[in-house]
Amino acid sequence: MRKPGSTVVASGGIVVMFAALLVVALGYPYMVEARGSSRPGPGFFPVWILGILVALSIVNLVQEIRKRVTETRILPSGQSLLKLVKVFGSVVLFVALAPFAGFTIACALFLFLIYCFANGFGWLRSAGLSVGISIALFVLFRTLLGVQLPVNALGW
Amino acid sequence: MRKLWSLIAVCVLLTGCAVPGDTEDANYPNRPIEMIIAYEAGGVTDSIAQAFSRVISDHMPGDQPVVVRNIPGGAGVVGTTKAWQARPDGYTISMVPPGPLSVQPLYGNAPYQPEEFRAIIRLASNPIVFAVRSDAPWDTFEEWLEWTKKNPGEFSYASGATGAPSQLALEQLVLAENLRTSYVPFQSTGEAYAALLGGHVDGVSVSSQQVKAGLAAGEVKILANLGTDRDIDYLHGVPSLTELGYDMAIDAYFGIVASADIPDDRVTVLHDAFQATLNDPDVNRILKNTGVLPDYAPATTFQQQIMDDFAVYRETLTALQLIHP
Amino acid sequence: MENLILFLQGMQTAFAPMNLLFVLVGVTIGMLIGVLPGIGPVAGAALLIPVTYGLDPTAAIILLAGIYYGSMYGGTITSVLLNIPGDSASVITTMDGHPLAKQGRAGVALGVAALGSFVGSTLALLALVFIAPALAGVALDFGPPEYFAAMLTGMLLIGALIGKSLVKGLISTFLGMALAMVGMEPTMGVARFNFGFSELLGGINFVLIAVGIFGLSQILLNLDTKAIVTVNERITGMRPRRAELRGTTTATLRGSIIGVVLGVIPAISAAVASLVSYATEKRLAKDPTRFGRGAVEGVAGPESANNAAAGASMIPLLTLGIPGSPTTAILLGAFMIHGLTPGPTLFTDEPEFVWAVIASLLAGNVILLIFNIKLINLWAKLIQLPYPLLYPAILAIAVIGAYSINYSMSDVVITLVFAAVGYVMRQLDFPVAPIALSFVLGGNIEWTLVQTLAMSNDGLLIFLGRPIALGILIACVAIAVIAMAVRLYMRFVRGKGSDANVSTPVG
Repeated sequence: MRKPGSTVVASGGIVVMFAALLVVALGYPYMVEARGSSRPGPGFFPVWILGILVALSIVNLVQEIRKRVTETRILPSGQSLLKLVKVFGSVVLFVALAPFAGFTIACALFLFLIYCFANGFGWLRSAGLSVGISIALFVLFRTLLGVQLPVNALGW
Repeated sequence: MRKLWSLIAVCVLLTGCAVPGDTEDANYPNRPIEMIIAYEAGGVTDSIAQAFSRVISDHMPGDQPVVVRNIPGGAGVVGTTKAWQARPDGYTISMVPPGPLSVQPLYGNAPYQPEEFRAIIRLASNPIVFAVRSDAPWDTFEEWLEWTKKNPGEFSYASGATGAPSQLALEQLVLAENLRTSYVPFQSTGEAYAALLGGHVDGVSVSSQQVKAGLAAGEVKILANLGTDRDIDYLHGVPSLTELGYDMAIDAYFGIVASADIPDDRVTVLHDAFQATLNDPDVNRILKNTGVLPDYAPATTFQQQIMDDFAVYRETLTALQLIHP
Repeated sequence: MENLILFLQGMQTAFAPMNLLFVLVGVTIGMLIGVLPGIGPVAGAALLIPVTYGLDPTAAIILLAGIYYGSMYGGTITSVLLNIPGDSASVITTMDGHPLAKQGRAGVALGVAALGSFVGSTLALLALVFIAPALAGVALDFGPPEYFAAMLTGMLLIGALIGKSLVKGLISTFLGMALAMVGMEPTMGVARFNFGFSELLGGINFVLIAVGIFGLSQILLNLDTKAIVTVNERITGMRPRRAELRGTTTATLRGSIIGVVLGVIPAISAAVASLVSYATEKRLAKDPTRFGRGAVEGVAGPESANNAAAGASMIPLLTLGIPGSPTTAILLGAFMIHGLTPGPTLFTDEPEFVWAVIASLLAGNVILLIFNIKLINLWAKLIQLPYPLLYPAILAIAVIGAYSINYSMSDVVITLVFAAVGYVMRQLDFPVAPIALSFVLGGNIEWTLVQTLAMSNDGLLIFLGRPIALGILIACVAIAVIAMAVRLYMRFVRGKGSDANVSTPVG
């Protein structure tokens, strides 16, 4: 027996996800009584939409199985995967840090990490770029457009 | 490589999070006060808040400004939750309409209850009014009532939000008279009003500033004032529900609240600054332009109103079977 | 004729140096706001209202309207260059605009879009000057049943965006509708699918979906591709090829007309207008398979349509005081603050003001056209910068954009979740454009159906008594039947085996 390809696994996962959401949808009132007449309630649309999604995703799963493609991958491997993790991780760090460290520091750090470690730019170049860009963005959004960016205790 | 990552992270945490020691003492306020607006920039609540924010530092001890912070979403619940969670030090306050305080907790959508807020001052309030197209067959409230009783299920009306005070104000009357009408929900008062003009619904129940323009253009007429009787030109000759013999009055207010444990002296400071600003000509002009009626009430009266409304809405929503306490 | 004279008088006011300066400032800020993903026209105009408190009403509204117009132009640029739509109206532009940019024809896409936007806005302006009152009357005839019928037709037109696999396209479409169900619903105020997060009570903001599923996931995907060709080294100017000229011209005109007609009706957004235009162009094209791979008409039509719709939504705003879009709702608020009441009385009470604003719209559009044509080379140069240098900055801007809607980090987290969803979906060959558009339409379908049934005493029979709604529904069924017939016919002509080919993955 061949191992199922990752697209098949993912397609199966989609079926499970929609089915789970359908269960949630079934918990909302399907019809409501309003002054003598019965009308679609909060559950009406969700049940139908998710029901259709479950059906469609099963058809999709069957199609994927029939294709018998095993080589397609959802996530890349090796170097590319590492790069993806680095970039996504830096974004998450940026988001986690910004409310405390303030926008400028979090953004500069985030840019530095990507330039230096994901893209392999030199130290100095990465530092210059990241500090320059984050200050430029801060000035553009906060000063010119009045967007209330998160700031640290020192006001930036 | 690895070391570098952690080194940088530590450096940043040290510099960024070095909060200067809390220098809070008797001199309240000694830094800017943040006023949360639980709605988008550009809405009615925001417009009023911006107007106050522009001039209030003139009336605040130490000329400290009040900075507006918009946190919209969830029918006002998200921003109001932030105000509820804030430290009760008087540096975070919120300007609120009735919805997020007196209605949303009833639906179980909010983590707070209205008594967990401290009312500081009521700044403005508008009566909710019941309006129909000017070519509608009813000229008075009585004519309408008689017609609706004779034609059950025929009359439809709209408001800008399901379960909001504007809807509940008319629903209260419908329940009291045991009428059969249809309520058509809309996502904004503008849409509800367009549906009225297009003849898709027969009436609207909205805050009075929202029909001001339509009255001037002769598009609509007001059959009844569902709120408190007020001395405004377009309400002259319009009966209020109290005058019609019902014990009901629902207003849409705007007031300042803070988290419940705020010290009393800070409530006084805030109250006095806002009261002085309310009389500022600039603020007055913007309130007048938007049709919002200045209506001062002290903290205790405002707190009482919030709780009274809460009780009334609970009753109405239960009777409508929208909530099951 | 009388209107024309008033319009010319308005020109005098609008072209006074001070007011012209406000037009210039407004459209420049608007362009900037439009170019930056996240801060769309709504947030842009709203953020600047307090700035206008000190100005006189004419200058204030000229400034805010300029921001509105400018951001509509600016939204195109990121759609074409980066595949990130700035707002719902420019989702469609990514379909063919971005493929064009990949072929090194970004200049053509941007040039055609700028010209189309200008034609669309100008046509809307002409409609505003000459036939506004007549159009405004029609707008009121649209009630919930008519909107329901229109939204349903819109859902059907999304079919034009579905790519290779029908099943995957449908999953994307219904997923968009499902996302629209998040938050408080219309009938009872029940909070759905919020899993206890109060941040989700008000539903998901469109921008989060656009930035996450379109923008961020695209960037993450590009990390893997060894040779990312964002643009060819050679930018082939902004002129369409001779063979494309005719199609582009007719697409622009058709798009403008579609935009004006739909834009007048409140609650039918510019996104719907661009969708209708795209579907029309695809249907009318001799070779529909070009669409989605860089058809110039696929940019010209929708761009003309969305700007025409944005312009036309000023008609119900000025004549009836009814805002047709979130941005015009913000403008309405600004009018009120400055003591002006939009509605039938505005034209009689404040003619100088109204006509000055209308004339300023023309001035703004001319400025924007010049700007955009001049700036195309700059934009083109900007994206010729090495990609590794560029994408971290774009990521940062996308994060700010998501944050700036509500000043909330939870929105950024939601965006990151959508980035992951979009990444997986693209890897699995699901089309992403249907999600965004069915999200816009899906919520409205539920609302309008609930409203229709609340209005009706006989359930769905209400449609029989509403000629406009019935007409739209019949047209909708006809489109569906014809589309089905064409599909079957094509399959018949091509012979059997084609179906298997169609669903073979490419990536």
